[in-house]
Amino acid sequence: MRMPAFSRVPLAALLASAAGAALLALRGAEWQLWAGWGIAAAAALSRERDPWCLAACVALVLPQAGVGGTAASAAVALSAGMVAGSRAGLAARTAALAGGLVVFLDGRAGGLSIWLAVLAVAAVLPRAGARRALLLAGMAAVPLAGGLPGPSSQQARVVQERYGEGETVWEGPVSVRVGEPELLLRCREPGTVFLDLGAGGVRDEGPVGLVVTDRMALPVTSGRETLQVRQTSGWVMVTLERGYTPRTHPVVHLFGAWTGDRP
Amino acid sequence: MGAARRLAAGHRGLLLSLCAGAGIFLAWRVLGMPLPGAPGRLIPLTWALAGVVLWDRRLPPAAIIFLCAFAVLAPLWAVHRAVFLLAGASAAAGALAVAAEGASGGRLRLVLALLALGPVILATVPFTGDEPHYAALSESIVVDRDLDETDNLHYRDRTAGVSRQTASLSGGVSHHQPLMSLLVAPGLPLGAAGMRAVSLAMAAAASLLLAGVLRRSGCSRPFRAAFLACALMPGLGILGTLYPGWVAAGLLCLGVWGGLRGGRAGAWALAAAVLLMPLLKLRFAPLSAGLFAALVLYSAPGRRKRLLVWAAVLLAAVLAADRGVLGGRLFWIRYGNVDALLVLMHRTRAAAGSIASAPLAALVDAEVGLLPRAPWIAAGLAGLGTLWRRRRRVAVWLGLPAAAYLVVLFVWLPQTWHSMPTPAGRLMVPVLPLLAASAWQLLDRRGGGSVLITASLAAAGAYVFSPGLRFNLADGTDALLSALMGPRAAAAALPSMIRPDALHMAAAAAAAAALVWAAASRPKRLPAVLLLSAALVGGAGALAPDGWEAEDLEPAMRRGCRLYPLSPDPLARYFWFGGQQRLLRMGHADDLIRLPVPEGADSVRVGIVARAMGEDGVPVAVECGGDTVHMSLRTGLVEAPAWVGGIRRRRDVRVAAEPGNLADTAAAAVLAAGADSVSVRVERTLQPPEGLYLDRIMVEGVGCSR
Repeated sequence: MRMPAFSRVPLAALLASAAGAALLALRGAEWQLWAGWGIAAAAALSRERDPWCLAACVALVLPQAGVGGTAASAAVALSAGMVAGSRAGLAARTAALAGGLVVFLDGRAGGLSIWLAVLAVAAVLPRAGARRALLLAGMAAVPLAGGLPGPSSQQARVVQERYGEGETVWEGPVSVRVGEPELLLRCREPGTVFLDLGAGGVRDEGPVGLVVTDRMALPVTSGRETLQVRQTSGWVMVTLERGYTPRTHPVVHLFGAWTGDRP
Repeated sequence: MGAARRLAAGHRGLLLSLCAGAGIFLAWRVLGMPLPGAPGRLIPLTWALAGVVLWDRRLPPAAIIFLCAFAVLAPLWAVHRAVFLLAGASAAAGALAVAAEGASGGRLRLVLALLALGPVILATVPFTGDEPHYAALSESIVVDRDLDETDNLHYRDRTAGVSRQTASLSGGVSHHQPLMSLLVAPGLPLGAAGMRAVSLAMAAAASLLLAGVLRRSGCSRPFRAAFLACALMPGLGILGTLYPGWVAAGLLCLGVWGGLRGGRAGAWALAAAVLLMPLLKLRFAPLSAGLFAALVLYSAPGRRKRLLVWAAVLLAAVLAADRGVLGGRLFWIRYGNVDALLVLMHRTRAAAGSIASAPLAALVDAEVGLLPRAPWIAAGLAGLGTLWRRRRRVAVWLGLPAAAYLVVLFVWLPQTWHSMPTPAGRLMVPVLPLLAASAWQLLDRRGGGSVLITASLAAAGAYVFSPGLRFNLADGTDALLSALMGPRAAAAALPSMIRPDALHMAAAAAAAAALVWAAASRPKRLPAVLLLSAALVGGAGALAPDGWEAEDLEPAMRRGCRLYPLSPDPLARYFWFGGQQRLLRMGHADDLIRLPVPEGADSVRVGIVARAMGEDGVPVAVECGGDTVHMSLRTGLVEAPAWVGGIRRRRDVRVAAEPGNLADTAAAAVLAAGADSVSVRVERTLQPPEGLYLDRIMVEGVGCSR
């Protein structure tokens, strides 16, 4: 049995990339992603001149760079898909498929289930053109089948505060869009918080977001407004109340917030 | 029906581009992607306009690759902001690839291809940096008939205005020379967009001149090459904005064309370039000097003497006119005095190390390095030898001005040669004609270099899609990399001259050398070498001591605290003597930093690198569970560098007592690991400028039991 046509430079690249990625992985990436990376990278480098394989390696930068959760899983799945769509041999494509499957087994690639089926079929098709067409069609079918894939469980995004003479100022602008976690404003003591908010991207007059405290919840509607809320629990939360629907781009912007008399 | 079919068959590229633009527009809306009003419209429009330029040519393979990337990434945009950025960048890069292919059709198509980028540039690139100053000066010249810009910019907006810049002089003399403002004045009635449109038109003219020079350098597709020089970084950074870089590059090409052509027309072109360059900006005077040096070099011995005499007479006449008629505005006030000469003499000696390392930083630095954001530059460096061997006259005519410009840039501006926070690589634009001419010695041949162009297109696509990312703030992290992977990982990805790390910089230098070698000798191995280089640099970054740069701490890790200085503009930090990084000020009793304790540690060692400013020291508490270490920190001022004393002509120079001039001080505390986090706080409220100015903080596990 002949080995794949590894020349010295790509082999060195593979080893050095693996070493570099291992160093980065030790800084926090999870073992599933590391396994997926290893398998897919080995497959990707089996054909050094195929741009799909190169793109597959590039796609793996994100998970190794500390981006975790569904984003990293999606990057690994995409990478495996690119190898499946390349001119690599059946063995390499199957290895890439295995790499992609790891992240699905992990359960972190929510919303990409249909991609799994497409990947499995595409990897074994004999013609490269047919594989690529199927992979592209599969990705187009992802939002149709189950909506937009979203990020995995996320913690609220803390808005940076500054302390002054008896008052707190939160620095904006910060935005909440579909798929992004809610904003959390930490308060030092019970009292009133003023929020300079803007919202939009919807085609009706209904609320786009909510400002929530332990005492009240106020809707944020399209346009710009300053809301005033009371809290006793030490936090204020700004959430997006709209999910994904075609032809809407809901967003809530927090331009700034403050306690006390600051206008 | 038959005519329609023939039309479709003959204009497949146009139709595919229009369809792709429509598809991107629809996908943006159907998928609910953010920013539908700006990039969601302007990128599809760019595809359509580029398709018109493409007309009867085929859609290039790179455009198809980028379109596929958009198709795959767009449905995943909500997964992570980085995915959205990559999807948008793919769409924009595809449009650039189409325009580049269209530009290869000739002069008119080159101009149209650049103008096709107009809407996305004019509407989305922030109007900032020096641009308002050029605009105000333009209005001042046309409306007020003076050169005082500080009472201008009310033409379209009564609330607008600019304040005097550093290096602007008293008596209403602007920091900027008036020629650029005069050139963009025709666009004044339409405001900033009008002036930018004029600037884009001048860049298009410069690209035509560049194409002429590239043809003489042996490039087989000079119009495509000229377009790419404009539309890839670093040229893209200021394309269509109010900066004089492209006008200078155009004048340089005019001079080179004149020098290579010879004859009366050539002489006039050369003379115009040499004379106009310093009027555009005195920084470009070395380009004139380089052109003149090339002229002298290629002149007959008898003519050389006459040329030198005439040049001396002309220079003397200009300086005399500046002194007598213009009141020294051009040269004498700023540079023709003892202080300026002392600065040059003393500072150059003291900053020799910075000046020597500047060329490496210009290539690989995270924030301003050319190679990470424009990999095609590797071919530019690799092709210099080939250009020298094949077209020596072109190499000399382009090389002498570029060398003179770079030497003066690095020596005269050892701290600000990179021009941050304005677009990365802005000051390197006058060197692009040389780099483009040498790059296409290699990129023209089969089987090599396309990966460099594709990677450069991808990076340029990101900067078109999100123009704000081209502005870096001299804080050690690149905006684009931070948007993709967060500031901490971005800091490890590439070395920074603001946060110097010798190993990381050495690895980047080795990687750059490998890339240039591969571009010159092993073009087919470029993809593998590219990966190898990235792995090498990333690996070296990962080996750096673990810890947090205080200014990069996420909000979840700090309560209160504020960045110092509050403004991200690096101008205030350039002249700090204690290091140029932004600091994190802790001065309120409620300010707190909380960092995780390494898993399984019995105790933790907390290291702090900071500057403490307070009469009686700054009381700091480090806590972990029930264990607390109290310390009082105080740091002194750094000594003024010798060159400052030399300039002030006295020995005992004290630097200003501000946090930027304090020495970095290291402190450490070891605590029992009684909780899962360790916190650092100041124990009482301090009035500014007193406070603890944190640079870096490390938490290491000691005696791990598991």
